[in-house]
Amino acid sequence: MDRRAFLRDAAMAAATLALSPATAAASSARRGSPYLRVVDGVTWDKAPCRFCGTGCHVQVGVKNGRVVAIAGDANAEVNKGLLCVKGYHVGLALYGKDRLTRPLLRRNGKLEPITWDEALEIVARRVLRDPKGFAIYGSGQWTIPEGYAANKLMKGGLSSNQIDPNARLCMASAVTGYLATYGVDEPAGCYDDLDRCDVLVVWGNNPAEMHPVLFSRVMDRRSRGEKVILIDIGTRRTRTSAFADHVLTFKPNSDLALANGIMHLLLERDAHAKDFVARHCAFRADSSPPTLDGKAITFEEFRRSLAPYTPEHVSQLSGVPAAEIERLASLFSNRDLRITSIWCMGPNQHTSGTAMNTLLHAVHLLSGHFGRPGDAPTSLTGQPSACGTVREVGTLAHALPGGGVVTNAQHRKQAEEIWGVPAGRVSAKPGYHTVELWRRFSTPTERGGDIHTIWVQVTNPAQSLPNVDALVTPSRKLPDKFLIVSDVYPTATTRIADLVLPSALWVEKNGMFGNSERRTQQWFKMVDPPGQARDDAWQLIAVARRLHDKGFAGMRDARGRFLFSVGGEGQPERPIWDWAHYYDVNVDEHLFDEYRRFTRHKHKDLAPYAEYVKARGLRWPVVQQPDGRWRETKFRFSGFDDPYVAKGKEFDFYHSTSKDGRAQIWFRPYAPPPESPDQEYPFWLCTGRVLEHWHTGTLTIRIPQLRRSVPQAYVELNREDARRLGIQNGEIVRLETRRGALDLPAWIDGRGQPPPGSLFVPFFDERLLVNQLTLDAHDPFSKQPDYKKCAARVVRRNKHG
Amino acid sequence: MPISGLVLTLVAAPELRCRALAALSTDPRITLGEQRGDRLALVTETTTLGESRDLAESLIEIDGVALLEVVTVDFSDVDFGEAA
Repeated sequence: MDRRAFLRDAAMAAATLALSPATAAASSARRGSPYLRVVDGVTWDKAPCRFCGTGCHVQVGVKNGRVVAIAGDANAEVNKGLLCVKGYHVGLALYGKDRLTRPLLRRNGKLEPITWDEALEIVARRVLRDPKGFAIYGSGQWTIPEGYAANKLMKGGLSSNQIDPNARLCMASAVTGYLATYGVDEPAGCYDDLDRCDVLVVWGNNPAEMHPVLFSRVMDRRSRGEKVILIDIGTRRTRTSAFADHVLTFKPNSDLALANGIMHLLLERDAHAKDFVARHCAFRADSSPPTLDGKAITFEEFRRSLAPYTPEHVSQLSGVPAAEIERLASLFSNRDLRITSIWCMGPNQHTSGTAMNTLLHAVHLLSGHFGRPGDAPTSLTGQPSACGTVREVGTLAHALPGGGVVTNAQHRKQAEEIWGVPAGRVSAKPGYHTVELWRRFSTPTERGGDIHTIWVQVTNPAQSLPNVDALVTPSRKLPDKFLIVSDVYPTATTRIADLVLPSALWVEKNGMFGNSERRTQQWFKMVDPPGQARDDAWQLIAVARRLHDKGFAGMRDARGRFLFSVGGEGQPERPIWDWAHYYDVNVDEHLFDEYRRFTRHKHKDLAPYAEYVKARGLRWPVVQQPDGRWRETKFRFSGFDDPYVAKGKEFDFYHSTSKDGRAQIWFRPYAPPPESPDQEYPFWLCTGRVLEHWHTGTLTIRIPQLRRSVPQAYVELNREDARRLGIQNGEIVRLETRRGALDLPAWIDGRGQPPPGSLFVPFFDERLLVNQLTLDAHDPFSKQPDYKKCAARVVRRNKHG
Repeated sequence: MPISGLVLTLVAAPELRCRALAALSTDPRITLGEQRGDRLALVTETTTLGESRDLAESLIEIDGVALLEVVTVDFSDVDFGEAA
């Protein structure tokens, strides 16, 4: 036999061996990726980036059990090979020196290592103490299977809706805005709109830093000679402003008036899209008492409501010149232009966030800039799976998977059927939203503080919650309150926790995310987590099994099987609660293929897991075609693309709240915010992110290149304010609100430039917790807090102090 | 010349599965092996690593193929001066 024949036979023998069930299960759980390839000893595979909601695809290179290289995935539709500075360094996020590698229990004030067996026992006992007082605080950085497991554990197992995610802080108002307008959540359009729009209007966000790859997609068109008008509408100048044709700086909260001002002019000029509105829209206003669906009003009532919002009045409220408001209205009046609006935290982190979101949709609907590629109102998400995990899996205190709500008997029945649990298992009573959950946790039990334990996964609330010294800190002095934290690194939250559980990160586990354009993406585990760090989903399932073994009835389904049983009828149970066997099967696939059964009823159809293995994501609804292929949907509600719009119809808003196939155009009045500058606190304080750091900086501060770029937080001041106060660039100043004080270096004329009377502080720095200063007031519908505006003052520190 | 051992998982639909097998059997670079249920062992032999990668990616695109798993890749006689 010659050498090549020997090699062929050896390859065939290996492939044949891999056909056997044992190896098949192992390989499909660990690495069934069709994209796997080996080049120069480096094994490459696909994954979505760990960081933001854009959902860029990366190629991950692994050698000797470590991630050694990251490349942009040239075949990915989202990013076409490009990454941002965080994405290029995402592999380094796994290798900070202080990874959590062992469970830790606080004893006598100190965190001490314990075994996983002990840790699971502690968690189970905290549940059994009083299941109704046990809560999970999760995350838009959970993978889809992780969030689904947590949701099923709580709602299908403990009969409790005390589960809420950190996405309550970032996306909840976008959700209520979509529901109030279309009757169903998430954007109608997709990133393809950015490739087709003639005008891009950016409302209260800074995509040049926060969604840089998407922003690059538009700027790249300009560099190729295309004309794209960029309008930046915000409360301060940012890097985005530098690229804008027009920058409109408005007084905080007056974005409500601006949107109304545009619509006032559309009607005054008779320039609204009469035919589109007449055939596809209805009108709404706030009801009394207020409800998310409001009340129906007539077109004439809508017109009369907008009468006060003349350009002059809006200019007075907002500080934006009347001519700019007229320019905006002229653009929206032009049906030959394609206009995309994008927004993120400005309209969402807003005590009138639901209102503002509905107004942004209303401007597009009234002007007819909807439903054609390039005509879209689209909220972008910050977290990689706020859409996929929180909004779609329903890990909110009122929600069920697939867009259901716990208050709807039919939705509860569907959940009980899919989970195979007895009728009545799913509670109809919503749990506490995030701010209320933490308030109750920080309130003594004898004073109504009925949450005794919170299990936090994949988030850092002691840094990210607003007014953190009121919502989190008091709980640490209450001896019967217990804080469990699953995370990858020490954080502000692990440092005050009672029990810390080490977690696997990103490609250290199988996973799936859902990004801002409804694209669900999948990846396989590529490296092992360090030490005893384990998947968050395993932790949840292992606790469920511990409860099951203790006889807790909720951990059995109606047939008496374990709630997270994997094995099928007549097949042996796979002990996935035992870490040694967790990857015997693909638990992600099992959970996902169960979860996707929920997704039909609100037309958010997902394909089988195997389809996402093959693809670089698919945009739902994904519907199987007669030839067996799975087809994604780019443009919902539009007859030319959405499979759920009947043939011959141009549009159909098939979840219409007015039950007539129409979207709702809302009137929402301008209202002042709950806290405004006054003599004592004369500044507006806004908080947010920077390009180089991801949220609370847990991952990025440990990546040397990113840390060196922006090593610490600062307060941006306007040059005139600084001069008036005698503050020099870089000088340490004291920033104060009614809730707290913080010393920060001043940055004047930096990358962000607030107008006079405004300040900005990024929240990534755990040594400088700006959320000790922020307000926990929230939107009445979404319960999302407002991080963008509260009253503050700046005081010079003693030069020698 | 890289030699790869692969396992394909085929879809359940009989017609698509037949079409996939037919497509695979016509490619001289592919040697089909044993099939057990919906899984098929095969070996590919290409001139360059780049061709090996392209061939693997084209197999995924075949309608009757649900999944491709790379079991082994031997490039012990590849000259890394060649274009990958």
